[in-house]
Amino acid sequence: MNCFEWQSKASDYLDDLLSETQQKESDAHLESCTQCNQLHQHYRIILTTISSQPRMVLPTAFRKAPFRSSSLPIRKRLSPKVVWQLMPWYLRTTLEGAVIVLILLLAISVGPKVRQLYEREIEKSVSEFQETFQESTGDSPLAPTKDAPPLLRKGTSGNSHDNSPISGEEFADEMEVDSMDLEGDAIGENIRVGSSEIWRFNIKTDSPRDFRDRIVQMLLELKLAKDTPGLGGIEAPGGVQFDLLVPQSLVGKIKSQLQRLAPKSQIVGETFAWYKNKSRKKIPEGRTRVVIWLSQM
Amino acid sequence: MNPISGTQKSAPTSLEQFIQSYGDLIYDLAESILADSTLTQNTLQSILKTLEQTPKNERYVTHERAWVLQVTCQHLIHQHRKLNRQLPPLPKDPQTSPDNHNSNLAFRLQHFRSFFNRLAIEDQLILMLRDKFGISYTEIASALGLPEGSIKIRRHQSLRALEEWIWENT
Repeated sequence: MNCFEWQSKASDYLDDLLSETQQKESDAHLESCTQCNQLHQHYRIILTTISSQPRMVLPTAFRKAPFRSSSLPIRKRLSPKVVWQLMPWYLRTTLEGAVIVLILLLAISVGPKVRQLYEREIEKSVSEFQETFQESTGDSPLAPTKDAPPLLRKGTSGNSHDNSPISGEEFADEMEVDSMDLEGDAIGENIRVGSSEIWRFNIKTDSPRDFRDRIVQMLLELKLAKDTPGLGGIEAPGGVQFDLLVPQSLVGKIKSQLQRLAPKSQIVGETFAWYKNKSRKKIPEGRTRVVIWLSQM
Repeated sequence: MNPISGTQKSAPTSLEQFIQSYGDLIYDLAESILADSTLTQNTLQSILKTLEQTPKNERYVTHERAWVLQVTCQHLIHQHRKLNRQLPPLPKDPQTSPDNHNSNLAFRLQHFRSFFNRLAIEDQLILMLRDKFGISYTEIASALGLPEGSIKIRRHQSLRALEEWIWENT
């Protein structure tokens, strides 16, 4: 064993952790090497000095009252994290589960309302667009089928109601959504129609123009007057819109027919939705404004 | 229970039990490192607070002393670094004559703390835990968060440094 090897094992030698063979070799080297021997003596003195340091005992006063006259502020409150961790596991699990369920319920309840607001905004923008652009010509893009009134474009004259106090689209300041039904009642005819109401029906189809003919036919079958303004529908960006003043008694039938005509979907409210507003402007007595919006699926 | 010799089988659940089991050990170690009774008491209070407020699922029940030492060492290291002490100059040898090596050596050993305080805080803890309290390398490694081999190497390097300082020019 040389000096380097001994010094690398000096710590274990001092702790008597070497094997018997290594111990003998170290002892032999110390006997032969003055420098390492001296180093070993010095290490021993140092270790003895450290181990003979006076032992301190915890003062009795401190043992009895460790936090008396403390310069540290005594915290009476634990942090929320510590409180949470100190809580029993069954309580924590219950609370966490309840919070997750609440979040899910909130998301489920808020989702349709957000969608409704979005659709209303779209309708509002469409109506405003119609009001802005007034075309002088009344070319009908489609040849009417079965005596159906022509499909108008972008708010051509005649789309507004005769002598109607309503000259455009208006939206109530407070939208009164009374039982917004995504699929509708099974028997939609028996519904209560109030005065000054606007009933809105949104239908999504593959071809709004083709579906428009069926709507017109349906309205004619319901004995709506042929000269009813807006009966042919208006082509607007995104689809076709019907804006009609109809007798209140027809609203229920229109609703049930539309529900029947609308494409079926597995997702509730995907292809057919309806709601009603309170109109700010007065609607003639016994009449209700019906707005049918056909959009591209 | 002797806090120096063995581990405790069951975990103390109250502050009084911690003080009874480990109070002397923690106090002695803190005093050895900080060398200030007021500071030692303040540090001890913060250590006891940490031990008491640590949630049960984070306590090392089977190696409790190692956990207590870990918390203690963390607080001592933090406190020592906060102090940012300026080390006083080494005491001068009383005898300037080259023939009085022994008296100079004795003088230096009397002022052993002056040399000891010049070591890094981790090295001081290693030497104290190992050579004054007889803690095993495994527990020291757990307390300081270092590998066991590093503990042995640092201990040897510290002894080497102390030997050079104390026996310089003797």
